[in-house]
Amino acid sequence: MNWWTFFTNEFRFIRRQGRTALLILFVPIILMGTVGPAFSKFDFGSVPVGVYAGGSSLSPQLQQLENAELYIYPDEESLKSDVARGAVVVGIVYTPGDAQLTVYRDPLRSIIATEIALRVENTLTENVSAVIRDNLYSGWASIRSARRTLAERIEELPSARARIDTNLKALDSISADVNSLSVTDAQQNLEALASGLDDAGNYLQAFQSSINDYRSDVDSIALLEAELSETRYQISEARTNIVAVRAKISGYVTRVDARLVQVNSAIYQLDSALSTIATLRANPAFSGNTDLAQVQTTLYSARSELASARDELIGLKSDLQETDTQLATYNNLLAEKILGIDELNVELKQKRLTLSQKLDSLSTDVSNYYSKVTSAQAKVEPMRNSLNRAQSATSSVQSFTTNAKDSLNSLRGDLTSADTMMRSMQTDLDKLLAVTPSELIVPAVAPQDAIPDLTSFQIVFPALLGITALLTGLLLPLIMTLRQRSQGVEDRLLLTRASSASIFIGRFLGNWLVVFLQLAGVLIIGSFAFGISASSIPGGAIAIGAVAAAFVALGLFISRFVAKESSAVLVVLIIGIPMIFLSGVILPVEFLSGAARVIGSAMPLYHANLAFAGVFIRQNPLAYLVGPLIVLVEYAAIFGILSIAVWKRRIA
Amino acid sequence: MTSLVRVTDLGVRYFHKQVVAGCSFELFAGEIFGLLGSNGSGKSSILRALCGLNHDYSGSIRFGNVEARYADLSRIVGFVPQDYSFYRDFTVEENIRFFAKLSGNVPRVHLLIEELGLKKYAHTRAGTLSGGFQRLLNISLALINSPKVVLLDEPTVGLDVGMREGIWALLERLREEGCAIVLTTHYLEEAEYLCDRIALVDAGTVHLSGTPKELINQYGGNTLVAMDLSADASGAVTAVKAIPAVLDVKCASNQLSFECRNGEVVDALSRLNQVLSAKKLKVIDVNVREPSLNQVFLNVIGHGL
Ligand SMILES: Nc1ncnc2c1ncn2[C@@H]1O[C@H](COP(=O)(O)OP(=O)(O)O)[C@@H](O)[C@H]1O
Ligand SMILES: [Mg+2]
Repeated sequence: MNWWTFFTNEFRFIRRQGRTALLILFVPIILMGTVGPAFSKFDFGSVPVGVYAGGSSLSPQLQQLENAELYIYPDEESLKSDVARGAVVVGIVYTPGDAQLTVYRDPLRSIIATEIALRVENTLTENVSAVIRDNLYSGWASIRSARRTLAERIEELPSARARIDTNLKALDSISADVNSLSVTDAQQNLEALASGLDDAGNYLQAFQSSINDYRSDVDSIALLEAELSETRYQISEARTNIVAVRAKISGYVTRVDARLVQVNSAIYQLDSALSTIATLRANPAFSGNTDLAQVQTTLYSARSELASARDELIGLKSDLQETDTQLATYNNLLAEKILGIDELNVELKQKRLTLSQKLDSLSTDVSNYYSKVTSAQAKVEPMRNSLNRAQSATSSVQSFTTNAKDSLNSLRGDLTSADTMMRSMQTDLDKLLAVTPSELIVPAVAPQDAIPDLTSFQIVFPALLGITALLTGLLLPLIMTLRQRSQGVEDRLLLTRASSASIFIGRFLGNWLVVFLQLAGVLIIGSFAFGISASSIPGGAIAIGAVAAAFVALGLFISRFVAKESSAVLVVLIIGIPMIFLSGVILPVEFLSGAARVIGSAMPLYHANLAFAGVFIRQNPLAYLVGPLIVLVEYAAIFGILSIAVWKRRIA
Repeated sequence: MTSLVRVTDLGVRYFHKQVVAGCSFELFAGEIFGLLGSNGSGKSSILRALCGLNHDYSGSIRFGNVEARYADLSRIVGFVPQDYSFYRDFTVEENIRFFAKLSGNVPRVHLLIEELGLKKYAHTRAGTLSGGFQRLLNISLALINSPKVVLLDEPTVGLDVGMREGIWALLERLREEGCAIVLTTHYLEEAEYLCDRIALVDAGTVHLSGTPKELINQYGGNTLVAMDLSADASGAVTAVKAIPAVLDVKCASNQLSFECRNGEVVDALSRLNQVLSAKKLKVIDVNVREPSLNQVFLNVIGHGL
């Protein structure tokens, strides 16, 4: 039964701590006495409300706004900045007749600001519904007639479109006609013609000059004729010469014949001389043989020279005779030539005359043609000018039709968009018409509290109780443990056989009992003095027990890690303040970001607040509280087990 | 003498700081063992390991055959911490009763109160007692289980002579009951007067242990004798030097001083008397400084307490 010993001992120890214990235990109760009355009445009496009426006078409804101190602002900006500074709780921008009511809320007092905004909205919309309804009905009728007119107009649209289409077609055919005019072709042809004419003129001129050339050629034929006559004369003279030469040749032949006779007789004489010599010589008695032999040789050579001279003369005579024959032939030939030349000359003369005549007539023709070409060329320029004019005329017609078509097309597009617009207007109007005016009337806002008639104290009470439980539940066991440690008792306990579990359980119960009694005291004061329902006391007691258990166990666990009593309050603040902010006691956890919300919803204070709010505000039956209570008891168990596990931990 | 505890090569470290190292001694029933050392030398650390508050030691502390770490010492050892360790806001009786309850020893509560002379204060809040009685209460809480081994950490610090002697008497009584008592102290007289054996502790180590007498004789050095004489003593110096136990004689006119081997002081002084009377010198004042534990401490450790 050591735990019992520890329990009674702890209880006694706390009792003996006098002022410290009193301070820890009774401060919350004193707090109740001061905070309680402060929160006892929950209304908006003298809540500062800023109004900006856009320069006109304040709407009479706003003037009647209940429970508000109205401050009129000269402009919206200063109103807004005063709300931001917190000088007024809410800023209302409203000019009578405005469609819009702008409300600036102080985010730090958004609950009150929202409430006031709702009240303002309600006040402004009171008695307005009837007017709205009348307006709605007349508006509805106008919409219906507008719908009808619109339908008529939409029906007219197709015929207008058809008219435009006809015009477009006409324009298209005009454009095609103008295109088929092909002035450009004519222009090109004219240019080709002009250059052809130029070519022809040039050609004719060249032809004329060739004709002239030919004429001079023909004239040169006359010279040829004269030359031929000259040649004929020369040939005649040659023939005369040939005859003279033949006569001479005949004389030469006669003289050669004479000579031959002389030579032959000489040869004969020589031969006979030679034969005499030969006979002489043949006589062996002849003494002069040797000289004779010499004479003989000389005679022989003279005889051979005479023989060759005779042969030459014979050859000369035949050459002369042959030349004479040839000359006779030439003479005959030349006679024939003369005949030929005479014929040729006659022919040439004739031909030259005919050619001359022909060239003359040709030249005359060419001249004629040339003059015709020139007159044709003179006509080209005026033609070109008229074609140019035709060209510019067609292009202006073309651009005119294009413009006309464009405008017609855009007109057509306008008609189409007008069509769709009118149709969408139609469907919009249909939608409007589908709603009956009675459906359009906005219901007046009538916010009601789901739990009516709560005093502000009742709203604050769970948080007050939770924070009290947190602070005293942590602080009491922490300070008591540290104080015992500083008195050296813990070392001594380590030397006894007392188990960590019994020490923990005893201490836990001692502290728990005190915290429980304290919270119960707070609850009872709340119940008697500040309208906490007495029927919630049994449930409240259970909740208080669980909450106290969780925090006392946590406090005992923390005590294992804190060395000095002087740091206890700091440690409790370090743990407690984040917990107060994260656990939904000041602002609901729904205000927190994701991760923080998860952390916040896991904290014992969160479950304490759930349990207390459930018991004291929501009047939930206990079954609803089982969840948070189980979590709290689990916390107590977990911290208990952890404390026992680290009990032997030394703190230097 | 029965050996109760044997400490061998004890070492204690806090984090990386070796505070006790190579500490060995033995405790016997019916003796007071003093751990003598200056502040911070590691006395308390040794006791905390001995009493089971610190299991994180090296070496061994054996109670019979059981290592302290694994033993249930709650009935064997009574530990009196240096600082008070009781509920200041509880009465003396409440304190003793609480711890007695934890040990199932409630019947001893009144006995103890009576034995320790706390009866008058039984219902006084402990925190309001005078220092001496607070210390008595501190001791009494260790005696609830009538332990065989009592460890006291500086039990007499800051007490007046009367209270101190009361505590000494209590410890002597416990010794007579056969307890082994270990006390730490930095009071030399306390160690010398009360302890059967003492150990000199410095820098976490036991340097010497033995009876105070042994230690003084062995390590205390010579007795210093200084005297004022009626006339100039320089004439007597040679004769004084001739005395067998006398060493290092110094003379400055009327003043004579010398060292004398320990244990032979009485003999030496009677011889000196003869020498002086022969020289007609009268002793006006004599100052004999016998070696003390302090001297031992100085000689062994190198600094005083
Ligand atoms: N819990 C602790 N943590 C760290 N150092 C310590 C601790 N306790 C004592 N010491 C140190 O160990 C040394 C010895 O201390 P202690 O055993 O109390 O000496 P003594 O009792 O002889 O004065 C000192 O230097 C002290 O600072
Ligand atoms: Mg110490």
